[in-house]
Amino acid sequence: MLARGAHHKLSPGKTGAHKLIFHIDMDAFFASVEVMCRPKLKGKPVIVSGKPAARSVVAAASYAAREYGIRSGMSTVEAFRRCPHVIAVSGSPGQYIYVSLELLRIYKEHSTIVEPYSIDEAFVDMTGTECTWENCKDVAGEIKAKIRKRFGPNLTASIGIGPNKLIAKMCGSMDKPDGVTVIRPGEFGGVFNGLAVSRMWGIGAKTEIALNLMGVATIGDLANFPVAMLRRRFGITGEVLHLMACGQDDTPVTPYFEGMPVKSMGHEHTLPEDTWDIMEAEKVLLRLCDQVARRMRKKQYLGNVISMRLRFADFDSISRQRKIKYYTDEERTLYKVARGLLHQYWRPGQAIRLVGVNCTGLIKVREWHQVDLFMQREEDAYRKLLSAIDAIRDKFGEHAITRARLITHDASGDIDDVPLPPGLSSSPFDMLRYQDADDHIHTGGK
Amino acid sequence: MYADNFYGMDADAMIQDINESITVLIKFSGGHLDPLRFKWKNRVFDVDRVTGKWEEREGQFKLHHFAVITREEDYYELIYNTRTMDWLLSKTDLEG
Repeated sequence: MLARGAHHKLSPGKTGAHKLIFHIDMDAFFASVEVMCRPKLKGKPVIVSGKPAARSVVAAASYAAREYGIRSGMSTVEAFRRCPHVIAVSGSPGQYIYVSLELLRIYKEHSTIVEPYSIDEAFVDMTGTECTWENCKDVAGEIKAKIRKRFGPNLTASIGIGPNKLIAKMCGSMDKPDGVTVIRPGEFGGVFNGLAVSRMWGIGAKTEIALNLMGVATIGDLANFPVAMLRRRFGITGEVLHLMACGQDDTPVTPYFEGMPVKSMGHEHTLPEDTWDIMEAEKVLLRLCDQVARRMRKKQYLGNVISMRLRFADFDSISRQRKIKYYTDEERTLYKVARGLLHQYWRPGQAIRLVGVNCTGLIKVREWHQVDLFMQREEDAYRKLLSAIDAIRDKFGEHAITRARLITHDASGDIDDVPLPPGLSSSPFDMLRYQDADDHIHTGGK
Repeated sequence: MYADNFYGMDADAMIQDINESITVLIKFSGGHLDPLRFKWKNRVFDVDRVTGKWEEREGQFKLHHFAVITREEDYYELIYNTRTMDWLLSKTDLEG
């Protein structure tokens, strides 16, 4: 119901008003990193995206590109239509991750409680540090100065400071780029009540429409709307919406070293061209299952709910899942279930644009692993095979070994390197969110 | 060579993939590795500044990437491969 970010753990009466939270958001991060490396690009319209022919989307747009109405998520073709001289850069995910980790080091100099929220955003809990409401703007200035010293003038951050994560996040976007905004306890209503509900963190388009239909247009309207009616319409989320509109949020800043609970692991891939060929979709599915299973083993997770996602040429999407009786981290099981779902739900008359696979119901390997005793011998042999494959990939990289079925040949007869390593896919977009850092990596455009 | 990384109308921004072995003079200091000068096609390029550094894993080995600007204000991306112990000129915005 709520969009990303609306996972607030709220409870009435607890306002978190005594906390002092920074939300640090890098401005046009990917594009800025490119400008940092290639200063010639400064002031020019730059987008980080895939090739227009590959139906990619804009992952980041420089502020000069934004003047042409180019935004993240827009198709690259549309970006070129709006600004024919825009400079499209294919991007370097490894570089973005590296810079992001360096930024975390800077934040850690100010507080041990740093939560990477995405590759270019982090929350820092300054409560109990030398930072106070009186000097918080100076501390924000120090952080900015350190970023400038480390990365130069082309990488800037916007910092929001508030008594909880919700307020810090919301005020962080009020003065971009390179701004600092402080909202002290008790100031939330005065600043936000007159703004549209869509400006509230976590309110997606569907919720906004639903609220508008109820006569709720602004955040202030929502704060004053009867909670019982919100609960009737949205369930428990209704109460959360009310609390958010009042600027209340108890969600703790989770230090990066405690790790974020992984709830799912999945991959998606937009095909270079739409396909009617289910065998082609199967191949992509197999590759995705291989990648997901590999990451599950690496992270020592097992899962028992497997879902398959399809997006058709008309952008209609379906996602179907199946729960299995045991937990697995093997691609053959993921593939068997996902393939079954693919055959059950694909629409023969409709071309497929995107294929995805996801595994949920995750537990750590040490928690439980039920083995089918009758399959034990085969299981042992297969596990040995997987261990060998993992060992080869650990040593030589993800490309080092793959299934023969996934090898294709280009026009010259050369073997194409088919598998895209996690995180180093053909397109960097959508990937790289620390929160689900190793959980979801999407490749290709939307 | 073919333009791949950048595709816009701006010649200054045009990046070309090179992927050729090069010789690099480097400085080791404070646990860091910095290229000072490199030789490509019998021409020597002095690094004016390193504008970006990052690492990528290739199995148990690492690829160290360096974005550098030469004295002529041209952009180059150099990669040091810890497995082969070779340097590669990966990309440049140099025309021609």
